[in-house]
Amino acid sequence: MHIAVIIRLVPDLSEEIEFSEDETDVDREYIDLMLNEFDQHALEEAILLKERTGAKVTAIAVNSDGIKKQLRMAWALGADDLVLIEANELDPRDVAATARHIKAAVEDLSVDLVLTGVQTPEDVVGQLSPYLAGCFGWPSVNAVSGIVAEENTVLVNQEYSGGKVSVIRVELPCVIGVQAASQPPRYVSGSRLREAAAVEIKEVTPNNNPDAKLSARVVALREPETGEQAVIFDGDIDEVATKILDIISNQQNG
Amino acid sequence: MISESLAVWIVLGIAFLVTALRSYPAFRAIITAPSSDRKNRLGARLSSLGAGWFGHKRLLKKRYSGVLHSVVVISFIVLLSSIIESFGSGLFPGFSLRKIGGETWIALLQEISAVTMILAISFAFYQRFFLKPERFKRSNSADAYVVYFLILLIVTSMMLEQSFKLLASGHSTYWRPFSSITSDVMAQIGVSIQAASTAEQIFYWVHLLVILTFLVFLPGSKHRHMFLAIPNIFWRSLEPKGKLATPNNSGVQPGAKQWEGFDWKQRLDLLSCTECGRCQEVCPAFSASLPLSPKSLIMSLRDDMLGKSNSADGSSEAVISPDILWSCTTCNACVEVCPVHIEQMPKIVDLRRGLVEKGTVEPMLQKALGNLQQKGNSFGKSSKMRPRWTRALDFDIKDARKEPVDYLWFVGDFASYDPRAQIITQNVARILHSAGVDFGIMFDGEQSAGNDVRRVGEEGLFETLAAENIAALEECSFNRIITTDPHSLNTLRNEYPMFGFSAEVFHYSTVLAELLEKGVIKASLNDESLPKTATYHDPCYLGRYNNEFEAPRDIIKASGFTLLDMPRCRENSFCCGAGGGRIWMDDSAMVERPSENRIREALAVNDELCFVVSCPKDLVMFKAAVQSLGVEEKVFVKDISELIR
Amino acid sequence: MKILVYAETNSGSLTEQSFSTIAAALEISNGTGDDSSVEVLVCAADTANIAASISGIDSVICLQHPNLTPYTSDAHALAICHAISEITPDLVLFTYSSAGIDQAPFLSAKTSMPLISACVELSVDGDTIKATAQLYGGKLVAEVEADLPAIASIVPGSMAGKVMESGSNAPEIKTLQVPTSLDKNRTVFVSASEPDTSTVNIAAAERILCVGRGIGSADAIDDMKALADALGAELASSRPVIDAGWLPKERQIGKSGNTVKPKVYISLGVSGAPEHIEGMAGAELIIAINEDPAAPIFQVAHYGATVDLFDFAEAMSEKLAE
Repeated sequence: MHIAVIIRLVPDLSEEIEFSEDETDVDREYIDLMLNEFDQHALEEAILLKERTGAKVTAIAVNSDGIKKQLRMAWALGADDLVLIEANELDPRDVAATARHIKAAVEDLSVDLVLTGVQTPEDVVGQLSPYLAGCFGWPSVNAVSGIVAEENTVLVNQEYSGGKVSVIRVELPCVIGVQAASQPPRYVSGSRLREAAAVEIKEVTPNNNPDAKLSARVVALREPETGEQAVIFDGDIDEVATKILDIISNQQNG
Repeated sequence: MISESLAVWIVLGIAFLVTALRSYPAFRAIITAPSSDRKNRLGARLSSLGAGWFGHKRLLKKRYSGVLHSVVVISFIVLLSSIIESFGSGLFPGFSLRKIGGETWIALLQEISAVTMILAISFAFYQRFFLKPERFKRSNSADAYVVYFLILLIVTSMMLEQSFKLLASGHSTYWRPFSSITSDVMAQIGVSIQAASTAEQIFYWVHLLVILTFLVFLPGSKHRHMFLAIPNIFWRSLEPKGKLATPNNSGVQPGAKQWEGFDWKQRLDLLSCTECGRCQEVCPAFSASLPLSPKSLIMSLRDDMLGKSNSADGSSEAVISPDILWSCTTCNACVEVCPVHIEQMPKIVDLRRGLVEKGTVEPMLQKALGNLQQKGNSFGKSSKMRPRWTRALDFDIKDARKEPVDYLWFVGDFASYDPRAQIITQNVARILHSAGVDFGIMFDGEQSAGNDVRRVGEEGLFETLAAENIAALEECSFNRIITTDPHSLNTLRNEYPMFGFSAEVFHYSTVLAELLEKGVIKASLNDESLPKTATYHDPCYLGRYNNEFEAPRDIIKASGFTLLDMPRCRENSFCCGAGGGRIWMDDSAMVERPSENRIREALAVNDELCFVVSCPKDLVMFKAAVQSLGVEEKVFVKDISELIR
Repeated sequence: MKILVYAETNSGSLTEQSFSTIAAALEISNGTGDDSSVEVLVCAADTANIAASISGIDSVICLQHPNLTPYTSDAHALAICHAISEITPDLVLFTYSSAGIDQAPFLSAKTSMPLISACVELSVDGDTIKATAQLYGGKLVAEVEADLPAIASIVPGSMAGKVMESGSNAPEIKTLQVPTSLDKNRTVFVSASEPDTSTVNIAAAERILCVGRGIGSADAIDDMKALADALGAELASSRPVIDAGWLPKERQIGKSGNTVKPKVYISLGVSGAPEHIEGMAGAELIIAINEDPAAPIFQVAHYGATVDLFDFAEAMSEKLAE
């Protein structure tokens, strides 16, 4: 089985937030980028499948600043091949353009299973996994928390709200949006990463050059209006604890 | 009927054979070990052997045991003469030490040594059986009692042999006072010359056989240190204490035993352990009730290596669990106190390297390492936030990347990112600035120096951080490096040279003390409400590892404090518990945190005092400890820079 | 303007979240002022009872086939695509859920209709839809526009929605011809499981102490359990704690866990990602403890504190012991 894992960088907004000049995006030059957490899970699941079945894993990414390091990290974790897709001026949120780029690369690789994270923090105009499936005409199952490989199918756990889970058998080829790997993403040691520095990354340039316009348009990006402000306590822990206990017992009585 | 001489040969031969067979596992372990480069600096090795072995420097730190052991060793050396006499005369009829004084001064010394030996063993027995020192917990007491018994038997059988010999020959002598007394007593109670002669023969053989029994017993006993201590001390590492050895094998074979990666010296370490427990006693992890005891670690690895593993099914690869390995703070107290110079802590780091390669990393540590990999600091904050602390200053700090400076200040992770440590960093900056010191920082070009990354076993990440830091440093023009962080100091000074980087690295206490002496700055108790007594906590990586003890004390004394040292000070300082990556790990398994243990020690010195530190992690750890113990009114944690006006 | 709402079903009836999406559709429809209709698409093995349960809308469109129950993505994708080609709606609404993620982007790729995902506000202005969507775990929102025909997925419970009048005219029931493609299903249902509520029923608890990633490790759980007991609360958590294996799935609050409406909800170290807030925003009293003052949880909390959660937990335990 040949598994393709699609990894993406997303903004890390745990510290400051800086907007772009026209305020339709965050300032990607200034803000730190990090590997999309769900993509980490997709990668871990792919490696687990490789360990269990001997499948081949190719890590794929659309070019952006810093993505090469993540591709090499994927190799350090166990990916066999690395593919970097050249794209001009691609808005990372543009799922349609991203999917078209990836479709072209995947078609050349005879892939059976495509894994990627079910969501990114900024997929306002759509999630990649089902969109890609739509482009291919393949089935797609999302919010998956565990994959078992079979002969021509995979068995997946799809999670719904309320804690319900369905086990579904999906025909290959298919696209799976991973929510959680079967075990937490593993640690990759520094020495393995250093070995990865020398690994070759295959660069491909798609023939079609899709326009960069989003079909849905982000007009503005802003901080949310905070509703009724929460009353925030600060300072001495004992006082805070006392106040909060008072509030709770008042609530109980009132 | 075989001659007596032949009997001695036969018995000796059998004993040697059995001893050799019993020694085989240890011998094999050493022979099959990977090699290591220790055969250097023979001169230095020989001279230090004197103080270490003959002088019993480390052993004498515990007066009772130290004196006892010295007595035993000296007595043993003297009594060697009686072994030579017994075996010599047995193997080669006619051999005797008489010509060189075997019946005169040698005999007297033997007599005295026999008595001192018996007394010393008795006191040792008393200590072990009645006083039961804590450090002996988990040691193999049965082994020790057998040794006491055999030694006593050897010595008493020797004395009895001599006593009966005197009785048989009919006269006593001043040269053998104690044997003479015994001989006279036996004559009094009517032992005949005939019986004495027979008894002499019997006890000659008892003496011989017990000695041979002891020999045969040795390979399976911790008493093998008798032979191994000297070579082990001789071949110890002469590298700076703060420099870890590079990994000696690149591939960790799956399924290999944990000791298989150890070179011959590390394996000799395992064999030399006397189970004395001094390391266990000083270990901060052990005192916090974490699963680590350096002594047990060495004993377990040794037993596993000799094929005497305690594991239930005998097949488990790892006798030392990850929990045990992650407990270590790498404070080096264990290495510092070991009388036979075993290096426990470096073995822990070696084994940690194996865990990291496999990915068996404690979850919180994994997060910290991920942060270090991605962002170059353990906090997970962006590199742009590193110089944020400079904003509170009302002057600009020079950018060492852009202009030459005299001192390049390597700030360090904690001093840059932790809010409590930032206050001190800003303080130090103000002091240096007003003192007119020409200094600069690398702003966001700096990354974690990697000292604790290396000690967590992440050698690859350490190499990356070091390479990137060195590249940044080489772009700068400076004369010296200064830092407030002993961990950064340690690796910059002792380990970065491995990569071709060399610079003089100063701790800020040295620089401040110098400025103080020149009168450029003044020290004083800035706050009248503070207690006038102070104690100083030697940071592990400044004191024990890098032998710097005086500069901070000079500053404290110059401030007008009465400086009272805690019992565990200088090279015996007690670790705050943050090192070795422990500050990145979960500590809820601890019963009493080392930092709290230390604050209690301070309070025992004086019930109200200033607790002075010179390391950002110490500051953070001890402030937290004071808070959780609720002694904010009694113990005031201060950085040495806060004593500068 | 024709609005088509894809309804999700479970055990023979519409899900609560779907009712919420239908209500959102009605609000949007009312906002257009002109003549617009709201139709609901029901795809199931047996649509009769389900269709009968919906009121206040113009029509229910039924597509019935055995492969449509229980839900699997491919079967429903085929059904929806067929329905869209037959009905040609201007706006297709999905619930922002697992099925919503399965279907909305898939449909967008197949039909080239633009999609706006995770909407908390949506209105139609002429030929354009204007929506407010959540991003970055709720830290930011985006104003997004798209030209009709378009697709949107709505965050459950976010739009106020008009309460459907009972007793209004029953909707017209239309049945669509089943496409033969549905006979072949590339996603086959094997089995399902629900969380075991016999041991612990988080949804029924009056007081909940919810812990998040900030507690650091499994070793903290015992202390948290003790605090919960002292408070008379059930111990629950956000998703990361469940994923790490520190608590069982039954104790999860959030989109893929329990939805709760307790009297008191206290969170320690929970950042407040939308998926979690979805599960607890209905609580009567929300108290959040998180060292990060920018944590989104403070947007829904009534009271909060930016103190260290361990210190806070310790202080609470001490006071409760008194």
